[in-house]
Amino acid sequence: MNEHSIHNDDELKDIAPTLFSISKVDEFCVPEGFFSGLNDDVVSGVSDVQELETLTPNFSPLPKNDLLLTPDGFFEDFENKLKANTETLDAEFAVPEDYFEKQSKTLLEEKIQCEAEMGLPETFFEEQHTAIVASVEKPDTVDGFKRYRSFILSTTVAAAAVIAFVFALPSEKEKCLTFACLLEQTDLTPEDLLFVDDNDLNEFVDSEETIEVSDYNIEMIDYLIDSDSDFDELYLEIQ
Amino acid sequence: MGELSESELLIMFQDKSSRQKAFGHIVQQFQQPIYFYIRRMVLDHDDANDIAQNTFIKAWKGLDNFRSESKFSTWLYRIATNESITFLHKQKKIKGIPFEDVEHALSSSLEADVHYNGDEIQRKLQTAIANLPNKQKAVFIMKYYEEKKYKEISDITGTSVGALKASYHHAVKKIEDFLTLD
Repeated sequence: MNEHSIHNDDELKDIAPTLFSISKVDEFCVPEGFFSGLNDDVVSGVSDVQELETLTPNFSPLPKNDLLLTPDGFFEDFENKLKANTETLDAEFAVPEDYFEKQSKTLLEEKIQCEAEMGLPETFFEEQHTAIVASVEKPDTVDGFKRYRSFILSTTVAAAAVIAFVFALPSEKEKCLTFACLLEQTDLTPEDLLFVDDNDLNEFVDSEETIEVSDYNIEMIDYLIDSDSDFDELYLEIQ
Repeated sequence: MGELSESELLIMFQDKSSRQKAFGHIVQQFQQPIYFYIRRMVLDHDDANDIAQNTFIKAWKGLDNFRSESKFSTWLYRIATNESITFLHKQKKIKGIPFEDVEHALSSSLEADVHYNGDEIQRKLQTAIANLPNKQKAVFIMKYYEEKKYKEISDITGTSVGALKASYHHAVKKIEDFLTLD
């Protein structure tokens, strides 16, 4: 350890006597042969630079670092700014506490009413089609063929109507043990059923008629399944 | 390689055919002071090794931009100071040691370091220096350990002599307070 105990700085003696009293020593040491190794490492590094400059004379001189600058204190303030912005957004989009509950009932009622007002008979479009076809006259068609063709057409339409009617009949619902099973028996989309009143929902869960599925109950089931991925694991109470 | 004076190095450097040879001499002459300066800044041997290599490689890359008005040593110390401060900034963000534990962590680290020979008071001094702001630390090390003149430190750091004197004075007071604290 080399010692340089003499301080040339008299000022130091006056303002920092403790520091002045500490001997200046070379307390940092290095492994043996370190500096010859350092020289070799620097030479190797320089060779790499020269090689790169030879291979890429156009872009190797371009600076790699410090091209993207930020204002002073940018990263120190970043977290706080982010927090403040999040809080502002939350405040901006805040709604009253029971807003969605009130909305859901109103929207659902409106939808049901709308469907009732705009409802059409089941075979309306099939009958329309028949009427339109029948009213079109083809001059070069033989009367007999015309009559045969319309017979075939009306028979086909009637058959289709019958088939549609049969399939439209509500079938006896399979009694289910899980909500997933109930979901399979419905063809309603979750998008239609986003807002369901919580009271109705609770009533449904607790009701004795749980396994008798009505259209209204199906809506609530779909909503529950859509909003909770584990919901289909829940079992119904079988009374 | 025998040691050459600054003017001899400059003559070698200005001749493009001998520029690489001049650089070899520069590395040979300055590797130890530059290394120990960096080591006092960052404390750890491996970190100091990496930074010292980067310093000389950057010096090589910037040889064409070297203006003969300043000395090679000034130029190298300037690069070494910037590299060390950049390293310390990055290290501060990564380490995440709670502020109140930094001193204890540093002191324990020095005690365990096989490349550190200082006694308890030396470790305490190093801890005090490590707590200084990075630029102030550089000024203190160059003045106290390297015994550089204020004018030279001013050329290295780009700070006025008056500001450097004030900075050094404050650094000394802070270290004194730390050393006398129980």
